[in-house]
Amino acid sequence: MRTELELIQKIEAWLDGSMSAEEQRLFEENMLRDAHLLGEVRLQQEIMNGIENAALRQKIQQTGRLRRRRRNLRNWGGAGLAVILLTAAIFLIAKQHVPATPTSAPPNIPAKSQAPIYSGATTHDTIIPTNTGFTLSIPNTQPDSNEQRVRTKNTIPLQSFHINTNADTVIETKGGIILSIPASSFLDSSGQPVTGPIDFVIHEALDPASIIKAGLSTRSGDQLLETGGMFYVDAVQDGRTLKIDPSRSIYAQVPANQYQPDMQLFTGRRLADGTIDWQDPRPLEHYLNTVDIHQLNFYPPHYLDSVRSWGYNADDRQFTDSLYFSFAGLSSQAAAPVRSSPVAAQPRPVDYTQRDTIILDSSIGPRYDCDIDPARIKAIWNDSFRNTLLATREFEQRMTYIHMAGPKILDLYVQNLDKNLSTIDSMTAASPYISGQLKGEIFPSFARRRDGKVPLGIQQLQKLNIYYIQKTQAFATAVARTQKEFWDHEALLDKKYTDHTIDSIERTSRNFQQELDINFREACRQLGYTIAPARPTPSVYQVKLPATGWFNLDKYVRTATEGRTTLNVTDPQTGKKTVIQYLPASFHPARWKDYDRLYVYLLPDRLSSYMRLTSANGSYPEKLNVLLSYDLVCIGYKGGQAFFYSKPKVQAGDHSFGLQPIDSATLDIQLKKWGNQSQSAGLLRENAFDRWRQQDRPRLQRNERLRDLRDKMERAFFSKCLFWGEAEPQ
Amino acid sequence: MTDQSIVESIRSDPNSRALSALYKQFPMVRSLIRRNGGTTKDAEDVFQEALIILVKKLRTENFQLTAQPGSYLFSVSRYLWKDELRRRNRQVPQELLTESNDTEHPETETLGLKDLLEEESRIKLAEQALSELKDRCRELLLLFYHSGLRLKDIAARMGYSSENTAKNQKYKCLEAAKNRLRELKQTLQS
Repeated sequence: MRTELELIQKIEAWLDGSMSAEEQRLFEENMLRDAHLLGEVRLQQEIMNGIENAALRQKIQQTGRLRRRRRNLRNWGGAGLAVILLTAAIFLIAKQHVPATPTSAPPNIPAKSQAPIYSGATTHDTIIPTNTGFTLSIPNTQPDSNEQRVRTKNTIPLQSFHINTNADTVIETKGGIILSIPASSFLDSSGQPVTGPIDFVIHEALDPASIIKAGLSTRSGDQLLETGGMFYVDAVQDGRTLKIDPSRSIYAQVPANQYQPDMQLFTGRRLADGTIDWQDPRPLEHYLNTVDIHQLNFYPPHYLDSVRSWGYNADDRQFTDSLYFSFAGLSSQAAAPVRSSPVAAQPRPVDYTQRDTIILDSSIGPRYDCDIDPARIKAIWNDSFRNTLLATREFEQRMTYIHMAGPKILDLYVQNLDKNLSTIDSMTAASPYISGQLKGEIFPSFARRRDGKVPLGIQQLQKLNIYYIQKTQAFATAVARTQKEFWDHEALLDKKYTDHTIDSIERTSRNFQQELDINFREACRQLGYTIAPARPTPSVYQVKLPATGWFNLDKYVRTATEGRTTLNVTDPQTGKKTVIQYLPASFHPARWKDYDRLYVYLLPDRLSSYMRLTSANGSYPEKLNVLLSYDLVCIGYKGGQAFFYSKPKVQAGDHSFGLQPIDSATLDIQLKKWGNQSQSAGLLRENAFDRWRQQDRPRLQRNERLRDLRDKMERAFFSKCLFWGEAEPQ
Repeated sequence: MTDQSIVESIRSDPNSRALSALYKQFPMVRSLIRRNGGTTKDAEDVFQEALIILVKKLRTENFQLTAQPGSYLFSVSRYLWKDELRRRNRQVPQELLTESNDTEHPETETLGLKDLLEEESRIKLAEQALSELKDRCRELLLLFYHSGLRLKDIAARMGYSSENTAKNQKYKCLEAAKNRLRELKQTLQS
């Protein structure tokens, strides 16, 4: 850490008292002596106080109802129309009298049977919870007579607001009604826009006492209503009554202690006998509060738990995102990450029994569709969808079940952002794409909550729909291509292992054939044959030969060559003897345990390739054919350092030797010197491969982990898609 | 919520319920300020400032609230507005100059507001320095010192690769804030 930062750290420790007594004493002495230090401490103290203030201010601002609602106002815009409201009230009708409302619930979903009676009373000690309350647009009705305004004025205390129509205004009444009045929302009697200051008047009767005092009734025709409060608004300029511009809207938020989904807005009509009849019930709009969409969780259920249980950091959002979204475009990339490395060329068995257990209990019902492609989630989980229905806690709750229900249902939600959440819940409950518990219980119970909407313009809706479709495809393609490129590249690297294995096999068999050939010729010579007959190849074993002589002889030679044992036979036909000798040799590199890797090679002079010896406890035994002469080459590695030893024409017997350090360029030169051309080329190749493999180890290990993680992910979250393929997009 | 429970809950932790209970006083302050040459925006600023002062006062150990929280807020707001008018070189209306005698709105002097205000203006300068930081820096500092979140969660939330990175970054942000504050002070003096 830089010294400046260390000083800051130290000052902090002093400020929060986390120093030891000794440290503190020293620090304070320094402070007395050092004016600069003292200044730094003061400055930091002030910053800390500033931070405290800023935090407090943030909290207070969040709490400030006025400010919060003013912020909401920005989201309100859109629909709405209104003329001066005469008298309006919000009522809860006894449920059985509710006419089929144009809201969401389909008839087969029963409303909660015992809704608590709504109390419209508010007292000064009541705090209005932030997310309850009704939002309504004031309906379009005819202005009532002056006479009625006067009478109402007499009975309920008036609250008058002097507002400027040139600016957006938010007003809050004593009873807590918030009215948001956009600029230029009033027309005069001739329909011309009104400018300048006007008087905005409200009478409110939110509690029973005021309602009774005002002589207001709560009757709608013959039915009694439970009131959530009544209010009256009027706008006047220079004594002239104004109308609300139908293309604008005034929004009212009425406080509620407890949100009642069945409240409706009634418009009051004064009857001849002076009482008010409440008419024209309209459902209220209940707006949902949006939150930062990045704070929500749209992952499949149990995703984070699983990631954690696999030993990864589930709190690292970058990691969890990249892991989940790497499965975008599922079906097209499903075949990509198969194991192509011969190092671990085990086909990974898929555990079919696990397919359904992690995602959900199968009793919830069969799924008609494939798992949701993460590309879809990626397309919605970003700033483009902030301030929409998706950026709500309410939607987050549904998301868990939408994952179970599949992409068709997700589409339903995303494509109906302008509707009430409960409307989409009902559409989902009626969808043929779900069944079981999801259909019978979960989505109907969401629908019954009557969760509202987040206002959204039609243009924005269309734009987002297009965005969703395009981004889903774009993400899917991009991720699938990236994945494919990655694994293709890995496969290319993995191929080196295959090539090396093939190379080694070829080398061994070439050596064997050549040595066999040499032995065979020698045997022929000893037996007195001048021209060696064609030597049978292994495939000829199955053929019965009429003459056994050559066959037997050849078998002996082959056996001797294979087993590297001394051949000593007599030809039964000629009585001549043939001897091919193999003498044991053993090589002992000093301090063999110190090396990370140690290779002992023998380079036979008459063979085109080299032999790599295998070790047994630091000893490298081999049997040397007396017909050949062998050069010894030994290479060791300790960390990155290479060590080398070589000796020409080694004899049978025990050889102990030490290796000398060597740099890799010199090593290559040395290797070129040894043996014949093809041997040294082979040795160089082998050595290069060995160095590369050493570097490649982390890559293999990483890929191993990656494949393992992808396997787990597939089994846990994408089992359906990988086996069934995703349903047709859109 | 009673005054007592408001005071107690603010003492332990200023939760939004207690704060919004205090917000009930806002209309009074607003009408006072609008009567005396201010806008609703001014009223909000002043009221917020007063709330901050009250909350901080309540959290200091030996502070005894002699008035009801609402009255205290009103008095502080009035004092702050008077001060603000002077700062704007505007005439202070009579209503603000006469100290009221009723016990409900005690004399501002008895509340020791003068010293408080000086201290506050220093802190406001620090706040300004903070507000000029990059958003990410400011958020980190606020989260770190006043969210009650663990360092681990903060690192994850802000997308830092490790707790150490977050901590290191925090010190860098503190440094930037201090430097800015130093500059602000120098410009004030010159």
